This record gives sequence, structure tokens and C-alpha cells, in this order.
Amino acid sequence: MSNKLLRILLADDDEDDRLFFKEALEAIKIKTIVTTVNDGIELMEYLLLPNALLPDVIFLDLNMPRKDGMQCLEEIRNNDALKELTVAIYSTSGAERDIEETFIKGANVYIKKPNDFSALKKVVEDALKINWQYHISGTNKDSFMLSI
Amino acid sequence: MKEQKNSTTSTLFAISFIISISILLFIGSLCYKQIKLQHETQNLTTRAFKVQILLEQLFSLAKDAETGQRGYIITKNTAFLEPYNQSRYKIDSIYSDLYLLTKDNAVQQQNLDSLNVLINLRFDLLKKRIAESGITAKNTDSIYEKMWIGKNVMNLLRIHLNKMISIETDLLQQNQKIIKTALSLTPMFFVGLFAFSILLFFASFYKTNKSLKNLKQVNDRLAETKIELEEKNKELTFQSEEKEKRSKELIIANKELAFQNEEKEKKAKELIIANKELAFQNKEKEKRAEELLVINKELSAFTYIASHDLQEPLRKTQLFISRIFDNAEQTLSEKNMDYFKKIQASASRMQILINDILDYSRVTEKTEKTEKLKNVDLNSIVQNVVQELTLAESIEETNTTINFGKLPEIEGIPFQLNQLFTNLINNSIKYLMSDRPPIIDIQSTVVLGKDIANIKADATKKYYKITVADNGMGFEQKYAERIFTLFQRLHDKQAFSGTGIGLTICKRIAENHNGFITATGVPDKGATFAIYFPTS
Amino acid sequence: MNILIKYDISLTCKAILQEQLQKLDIGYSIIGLNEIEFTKLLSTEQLEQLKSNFEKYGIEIIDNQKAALVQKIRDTIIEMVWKDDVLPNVTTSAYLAEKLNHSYGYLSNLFSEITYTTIENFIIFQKIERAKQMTISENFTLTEISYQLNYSSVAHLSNQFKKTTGLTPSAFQRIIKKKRENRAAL
Repeated sequence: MSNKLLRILLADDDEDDRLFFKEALEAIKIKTIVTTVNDGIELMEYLLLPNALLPDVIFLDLNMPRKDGMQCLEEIRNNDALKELTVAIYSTSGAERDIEETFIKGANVYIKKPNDFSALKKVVEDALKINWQYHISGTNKDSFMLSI
Repeated sequence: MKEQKNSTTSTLFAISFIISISILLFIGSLCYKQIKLQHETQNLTTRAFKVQILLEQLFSLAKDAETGQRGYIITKNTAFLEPYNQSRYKIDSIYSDLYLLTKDNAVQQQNLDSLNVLINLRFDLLKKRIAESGITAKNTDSIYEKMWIGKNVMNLLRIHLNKMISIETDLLQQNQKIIKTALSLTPMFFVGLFAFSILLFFASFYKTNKSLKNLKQVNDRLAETKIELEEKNKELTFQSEEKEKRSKELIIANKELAFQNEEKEKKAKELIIANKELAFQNKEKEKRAEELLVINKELSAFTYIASHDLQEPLRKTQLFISRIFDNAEQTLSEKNMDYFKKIQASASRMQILINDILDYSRVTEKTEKTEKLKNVDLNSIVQNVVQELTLAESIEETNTTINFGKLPEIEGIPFQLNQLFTNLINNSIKYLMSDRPPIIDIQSTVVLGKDIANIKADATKKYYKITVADNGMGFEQKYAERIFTLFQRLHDKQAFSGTGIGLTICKRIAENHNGFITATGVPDKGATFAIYFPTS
Repeated sequence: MNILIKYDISLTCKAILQEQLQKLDIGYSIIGLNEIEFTKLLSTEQLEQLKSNFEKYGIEIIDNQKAALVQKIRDTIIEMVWKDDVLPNVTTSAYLAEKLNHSYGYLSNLFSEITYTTIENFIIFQKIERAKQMTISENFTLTEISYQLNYSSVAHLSNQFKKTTGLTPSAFQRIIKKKRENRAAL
């Protein structure tokens, strides 16, 4: 795992949040390459490029202009080329209703944006570790659900 | 059928009647004709006799005139001339009579004309004789001759008269013959017709009689029916009498009812007045409710702002502070570091406040949406809460013991009841006495509404009384109301975290379930919260 | 001036690998993305040199023996958790030490070094995965699951389930049910 550079894609319209996220990824042990997009439309355009390098994990903000995270999630799960991707929801909302709904729609991880940087580092790292566990042990991804 | 028969009978009867009438009319007319004929014939006979008499008078007058003339001639006495003079006038009047009487008979008229000539001739002769007698009486021969002529004229007159009389006699005889035949035929005819008439009448009578019999039969039947009808009528009368009796009874009952109704109306009027007052009060209440709805909507809007917009900048503020701690811990002066710590503490507190407000508004919002009430087993609710708190490690950390007896099943909103017990247990754990581990005891009893010393209790209802008692620091009883008020705290916030919203939410949840909550406390001994839910 | 670039990391890596390997003058071939096969055995000197060369690019040579052992640890744990209906009632440390013939301390350190996670976490992860599968496929009650997976109580299982997944078992069950309904509706 330590040898592998994980490809991370973040879709978030908030500039500060993108900055925090990148800083958090730089601060953890796991080596990553981060790409960011500003909204759902950009995300889907990026993913649907003909020879797109698909990310290992997508971090997806729910509340975005033009196309929100929920719509993106549905499009990803309904696209044969994308449906195996790991999707981590990255949202301000901590409402149980929102959490359950995203899992039902096929999210693998639900991260409530933390209000502390070390907490942010921890949740991002946890998400990537668990994803790695699924990746290497080939366990059924359908039951891959983590709420942090 | 019967009607047809009746109609044919009546037509038959009418026909025979008409025939009889026409026969009678015919007979009447015949009689009239016969009588008229007889009368005419009699007239004719009378006339014939009169003509005969007049003719004979005429001859005798002519003779009288001759006799008078002779007497004069002989005596030269003019007194003898008197009959001669008179007869001349009388003959004229008789002659005119005769002329009138025989007006219809052309033969007799001719005869009369010739008679007149003969009479005139005779009187001319007589006149001449008288006139001659005065002058001379010398030539007897010529006198004779002249007398002879006179005599011949007289004879001729006589013959003519006789002829006329015989014509009249013939006429008489002819008339009498006519009368005779007429009179002999008429009775026969009458008798025949009469007989036929009688026959017809008998036939009609028979027919009528038959019809009458029929009519009688029909009548009898009608009479029978009538009797039956009468019987039925009697029955009906009896029944209607019964009905009348009943209706009289009903009328009495009705009157009573009417009286009762009046009483009721009176009461209803009173009720209407009371209702109007109530309606007015209700309107006022509705107005207030509408106002409340508006306020609630505003609150919901605020909830949205709090959850989505307020949290965002707050979270970022906290994140930036944590970045400063990470990056600039070495370079910051102690004083500045302290300020940042205070900023961080305030931000966390604000975070907690926002979360609590969200919790509270969620409780009110859910009630507004009138979430469906389900049968909720409070045992499983409390078990669940204990499990969750165990997961949150607050129970293990504080070494809390929770005991609970058998709890009832009530109609409620599971999520709210879950929150109610979570808040109460958390409250007990939070205000523990540091010298002893918390012991929380949850029990249930049934109490009568009238036995509860609380304004909110409905005396007519039964309540489940769920008590949550702890051995914590308790409170002075005078604060028992205050602890349920929003953001009211009995302790300063440095000593205990929290916003003081937990118990307010409990109060609200109890009210959402048509119940209420009370608190009793003894300082340093413990607090007991009692939640009352009406039994269903 | 800004330009946007796009690159294939595996191609880049491959190029770096080839450049460095040619310096050794030993026959080699690159298998897949992360394995290099040499035509003859490398001396310790050569290996150390390669290691230091690679380090500049962030490329690390994994000790084959260590990697193999980590894989063995994983396999043993997976077998232990998934093989039988009821988990063997043994302490995992003793079980692994006995099966792999190494001290548990050594195995634990090695595992953490290679995977950035602990053996304990990996076991928990696998047990919760099994619990999930049981909930999904066979409609076991939590009591049954906790017994079969050697949990001391349902609370313990629930607790670990919640800690590992962030969800309570009942929430997980509810989500799976709805997911299936959604799929059936499509």
C-alpha cells in the first residue's frame, strides 16, 4: 500500500474546503495524487472523458451548484464504466436521513465535514484505509458502508 | 256482454215505440180524413136539400103570383096584386141564393140560367095580363089564348124545376153512397191497425219486462255487492275508528313530544348562545393558531438557515483555528495563543447551541407535521437508549447503573420518546455527585388524573406515570419549573457543558404526547422526573 | 502562463524503473505494475544500490519475504473468520503465532509496517464484514451472529459494528433492505 500512489478526486464548490482537503491529504502517511473539480458538472465531464484515468476514491460534496452530489452519485452508479468506483460523500450535513439516503443510493463512505483539522486528517485516512481493505481482500463492495 | 244485450233491447224497444207512434199517427190522420169526408158529404147533402126546398119555394111563389094576378083581374082589387108584387122580390132573392149554392155545379148553373129565362117570361106574361085587364074585357078568345100560353110556361117551369130537383136528388144519393162505403170500410181498417198496435205494445211490454227482469237481476247482484261493500265499509269504519283512537293517543304523545321539544329548543337556544361564545373564542384561538403557524414556519426557515448556512462558516472558523494551532504553535505568543483558544471554545459552544436549536426545532417541526402515532413499547425504547449511551461510552465512563421496571406501551412517536429518555438519562449522568456512581431508576405506575396535583392533568383520565429518579446533586424545589425553560441553567456554564435545552425538549415531547413532565429535587440527594402519558 | 498536463503514472514509473534497472546491467523483466523479475540473483550490494537509487523517486523495494508473510497473515485471518460456521474460540494472537510460526509481536509489527493498519483492526474488519454478510444473506438475529463470531454480547457486537462502520446494525439492515427494494424497482 505504501508504494502505491492513490488517485483521489474531490468535487467541492467551496475553495476553503478544497484547500483543507488537499492539506489533509498531504499530511497523512498514505501517498495520494489529488485532482479537484468545482461542481458536479465538472466531475461528470472529467469522469466521462474517453481515456480518463479513473480515481481510486471520489470525495463528493452533496451541496453543489449546477449538479449536486446526489445526482452525481446516481449517475456514477448507473454507468457501467463507473459503477465500481469507491464514492465517499463529503458533506456538512450530519442528518441521519441524508446519511441513509446516500448509502441507499450507493455511497460507500459518508464523511461529515469535521470542524478540526486533525479530525479531518483522521477521517480521510480512515476512509482510504478501509477502501484499501476492500480493495485487497476482494470483499463484496455492496456492503462497503462507512459513516465517519 | 250484458251491456251489449241491454243496448240491443233498448234499440228494439225504441224501434217498436217509434212504429207504434207512427201507426197511431197514421190512424189519427185517417180518422181525421174520414171525418172530414163525412162532413163534406153532409154539407153537400144539406146543400142539395136546400136547393130542392128553394126550388120548390120558387115554384110555389110563381104559383102565388099567378093566383094573385087572376084575383086582380077578376076583382080589379089591387089587394090581390100584393102576392104578385112580393113574389117577384122573393123569387129574385131565392134565385141569388140558389146561384150561390150551385156555384160548384156547372150543370145546375146552366139550368138556373134557363130557369131564370122561364120565370122572367112568366112574369112578363103576367104583367101584360094585368095591364090589359084595365082597358077592355072584349076579346075572350085572346084571353084564353093568352091564358094557355101562361099555362104552358108554367108547365115548362114545373118540368125544369123538377129536372133540377132530380139532379139534386141524384147528387144526394151519390153522396150518401160515398159516406156509406167510407163508413163501412173505416172501422175494419181501424180495428186492424188497433190490433197491430196492441200486438206491438205487447211485444214491447214483453221485451221491456224481460229487460226489467235482467235489470232486476243486475240490480240484485248490485244489491249483493252493495251489502258486501257495506260490510267492508263497516270494517273500514271500525278500523278508522281504531285509527282515530290511535291518532288521539298519538296526538297526546305528540303534545308531550312537542312540550319536550320546546324544552329542548329552549336548551338548544341556550346552547346556541353558548356555542356562539365558544365560536368567538374558537375564532380567537384560530387566529392565534394561524399566528403560531406563521411563527412556526419562520422557525422552520430559521432551522434551515441554522443547519445549512450558519454551520458552514462556523465549521470553517473552527478548522482555520485548528490549522493555526497546527502550524503556528511555536511562533505565536502565549497571549495570542490564549486568545485563539478562547475563540475556539466560543466556536465550539456556538456549535453546540446550533445543534441543540436544531434538535429542539426538529421536535416542534415533527409535531407540526402530525407525525403518525404508533404503538411504542417503552421497554424497548429505554433498552435502545441504554445501548446507545453505552456505545457513546458515557455510561461506562461514569460507572452508571440504570435499573428499570416493566414499562407500558403507549401511542407515540418513537424518535421523540427515544430522545426524551436519552436527555433524561444524560441529565442524570451529567449532574452526578462526584462521590458516588450514578444510579438511575426508571419505573412506571398508573394514576388517576384527579389524584395528580398538576393543572395540566385531566381529572377524567388515567395516566401512566413514568419516573426517572437519580442519586445526583438534585436541585432546590423552587427551581422545579425553571429547569424546563429554554436556555435556563441552574449552574454556570463553566461547571457544566450544555445549553439547558435538553429538559425543554423533554417538556415539549411530553406535551406532544398529550402529557406533561414534572421535576422534584432535593439538593445533594437527587432529582426525580415524572412524565405523565394519558392511557389510551 | 499555466499549462495543464495529464500523465499516466504507471508509464512514468515504468520509464524510471527501466532507467535505473539498466544501470545494473543485469537481465530483467517488469511483471505488471509492481514486480520485477531478474535473470539471476542479485548481490546484497547490488540490492542496496538499487534501493538507494529507487528511494529518490519514492520507490521502495518490498522485502519479498515480509510481503509474503503479511499475505500469509491476511490469509490466516480470513480463513479463521470465514471458514467455519462458528469462529474457533481461541485468542487470535496465539492462533496466528502458532499457525505462522512467528511471535505475535513480530507479526503485529510487520503487519502494521506494511499495511498501516493493525492485525486487530484487520480481524475486526473481517468479523464485521462477516456479520454484515450474515445479516444480509441469512437473516440471522444479532444474538446468533454475536455467538457465531465469538462476541461476548450483542452489545459488544453492536458496539464494534457501530465503531467500524459508523452505523448501528439495525440502520445497516434498513439501508440494505431499501437498497434491494430500489434495485428491484429498476
